[in-house]
Amino acid sequence: MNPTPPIHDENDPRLTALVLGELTDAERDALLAHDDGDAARFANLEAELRDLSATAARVQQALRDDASDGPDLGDEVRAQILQAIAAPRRQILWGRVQRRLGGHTDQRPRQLHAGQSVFKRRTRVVAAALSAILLVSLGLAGLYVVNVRFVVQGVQDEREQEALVPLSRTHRRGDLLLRADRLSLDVGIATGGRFDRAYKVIMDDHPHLELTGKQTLTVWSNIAAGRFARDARLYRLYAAPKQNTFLAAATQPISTFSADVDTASYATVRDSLHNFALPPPGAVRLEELVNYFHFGEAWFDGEPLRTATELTTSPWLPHRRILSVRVQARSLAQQNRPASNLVFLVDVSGSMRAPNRLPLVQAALRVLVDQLQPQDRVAIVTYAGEAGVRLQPTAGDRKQEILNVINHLDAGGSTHGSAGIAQAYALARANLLPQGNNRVILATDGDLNVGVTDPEDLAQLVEREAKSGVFLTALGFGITVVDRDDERLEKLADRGNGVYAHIDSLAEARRVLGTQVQGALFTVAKDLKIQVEFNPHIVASYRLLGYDNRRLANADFANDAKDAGDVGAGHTVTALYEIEPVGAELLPAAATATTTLGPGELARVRLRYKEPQGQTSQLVERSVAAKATPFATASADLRFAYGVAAFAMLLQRHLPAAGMSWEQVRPIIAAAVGTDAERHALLSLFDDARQIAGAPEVH
Amino acid sequence: MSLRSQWFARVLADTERPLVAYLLRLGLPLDAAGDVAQEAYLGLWQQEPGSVDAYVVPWLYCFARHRAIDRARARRVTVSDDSVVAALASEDRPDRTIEHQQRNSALQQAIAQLPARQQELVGLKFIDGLSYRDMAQATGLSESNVGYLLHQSMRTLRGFLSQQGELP
Repeated sequence: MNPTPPIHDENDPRLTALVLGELTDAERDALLAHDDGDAARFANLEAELRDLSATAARVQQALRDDASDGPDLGDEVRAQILQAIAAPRRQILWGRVQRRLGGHTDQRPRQLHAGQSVFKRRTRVVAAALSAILLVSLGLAGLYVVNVRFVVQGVQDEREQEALVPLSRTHRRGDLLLRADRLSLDVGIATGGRFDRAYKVIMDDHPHLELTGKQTLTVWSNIAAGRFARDARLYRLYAAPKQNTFLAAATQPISTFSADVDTASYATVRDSLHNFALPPPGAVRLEELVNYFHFGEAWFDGEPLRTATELTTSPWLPHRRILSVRVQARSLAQQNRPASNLVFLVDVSGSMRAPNRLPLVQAALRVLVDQLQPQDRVAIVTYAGEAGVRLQPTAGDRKQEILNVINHLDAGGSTHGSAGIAQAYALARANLLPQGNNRVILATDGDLNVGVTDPEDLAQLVEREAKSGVFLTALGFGITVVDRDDERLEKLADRGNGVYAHIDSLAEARRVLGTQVQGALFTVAKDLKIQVEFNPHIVASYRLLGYDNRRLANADFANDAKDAGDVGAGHTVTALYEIEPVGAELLPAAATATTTLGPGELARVRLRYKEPQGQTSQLVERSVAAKATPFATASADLRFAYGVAAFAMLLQRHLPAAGMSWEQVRPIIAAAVGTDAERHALLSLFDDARQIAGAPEVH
Repeated sequence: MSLRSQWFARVLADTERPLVAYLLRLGLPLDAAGDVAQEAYLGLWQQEPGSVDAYVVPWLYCFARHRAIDRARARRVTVSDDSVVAALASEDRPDRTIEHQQRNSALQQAIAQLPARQQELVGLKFIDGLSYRDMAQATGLSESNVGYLLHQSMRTLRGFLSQQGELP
């Protein structure tokens, strides 16, 4: 018996400080730093922290009642005080107060806005460019502290800027979001978890801000003491995504991966950049950024999938080749699509009250209801404390009935995700359409934790139901990358043969549920796997860009029992390979390597997929010739896709590959945007990111 | 109403309940707590505008705490600053401090068993939600001392909870 010595000193006050959110990120990192060999001892530290945060939560709970409903000063005393101060004094410009609401306490200083005349005028000018960030640090269980920061863009006047900049004095994680050239007004408010209340307080205090649905309102969640153990694990997972290395074609000629049509990472990245922060590298999924865009044919019907390959040269390294493999699923005309049996499963827990959550869910569902046909069936189940059926399965043409229920959804209570899910699946199964589209559409802010004993149980439930024909679409609202809720929802949707989308605005809701409703709803091909075999006589080495968590073992390609990604109507999957040809190699040529590929054949692309109801896969093969088009004359689709991939790599903070800098990527994207509004939006997002990253301007 | 009066009125509205509650926890009777709070607010109003804006709550707590000690001394109770809570409490309020009379949970009793200084800090942290910095300002302790004492409290309470089998 030789117990593992703990990695930490149990008398180290930093342990409690960490649990109570008193450590800076750097201090936290220092405390949690450990070698791989220390895993067992680190587990001790984790256990210690878990106990301490459980203790903190219990103490908080035990003392919470003391915070509310205590005696106040009484009207008389208060009147005396106010009378005593009535004598005029000179005005102050700025004040800070502490605010207490709903019996809960605020510990953040809050700046009162007194210099209104100046600010008001400026704000009106820039009202359209105004965005607000709610920085939420979840404090102890039941105690939510919300820092609200309004960021006003585009104020040019240096003098006024100086006058206003000292406002930003919150030394919190959120400071990373702040840039010196932005103005901010920090407001710290405790709301006892009531986001809507925080919102209202801000609006009451700052009516001139005219915050409407037009502006971005984002909620960031900080470390929660009560959930520290989870965060500590996440901390270890937070390593930047590894840059895929080039693989030698002589020894590893075959590359296999699963299709991924999720695009949520794009919304996450956009969200972050709109709040003046580079996204965490781990939140940038290259393939999801690329697949967000529409490539290929506008519309086609007939065979389920079309495959296109294109080979071009690298814009930066003349010898390097870029191979694009694009798989597109057929579109479905509205009138041709099969009937849908949909169950909306809506999270109405208290945390959904924020303006970018339940209200946006309702707006998104209204968009979806618009698409319904008479043969469709819709039901609505909510979960919050107890699961409840709000709408029994109802025909798609009884829109008013459906809308009434949607409009009356209200948030409140705690979250018990699993009970709601079970109920939703039961309803979907009871109305199963054998030839139709049977789907549970989950709308949540990601907090399925309370009441779910085991996330794996949940995933298994979802997987089981998918096998019985009911798929899962997950829609994330107000999802925070900090909590990695997006990853959990993505994985859940994967297990349910479905897709995950992050809805951060009504525009995104329209995109995902309106124009792309088909893709999200109608699976065209199941378990799509893509395999590329390279000819080692032509290709010295290659690497796949992105799809980091989608790689498959080569042997799994033909194994129909092995799950892979599903593609819906209208979806496009694009994969990009960078190739070092023999002769210009990083690795020596392998003239002796044998291959089944023909001379002049650079690679062979193979797809396997199943029909939505099928159990056995079909194989599609396509040969890629070695002749590459110069980059300048390659298709705009390929040039744009490669530009987006390079953008993603810059966001992942990979050391710039030769020639790949912000300055050099921009013209690649700019030259390929054409008239597509979404591509133009990407370009302006790129410019935001470049500015935030501190890259010099290019003219 | 001037902007400063507006500001002050808001401070008052936002802080009066917690301040009174803090003073009651320190062991003052209700009427004395009201008096001390009133002094504190008037003291706040006397401050140079802008000088305490950034830490109004710790300022109020610190001020009120000193006044509470003064009162205890005036009543000829020998107190050292360190034992202010216990000393004030010993006066004539056996049911003082954090716990509520009729519904003391085991944990609340355990908190009441902590040394007076730790009890006060636990209250400032978990009831008032003050940061270490603000707690230091309110109590005159150093921030690291606050952190140390609070960690000791947490360890004690954790030990208590696991004894009760209430920790997983």
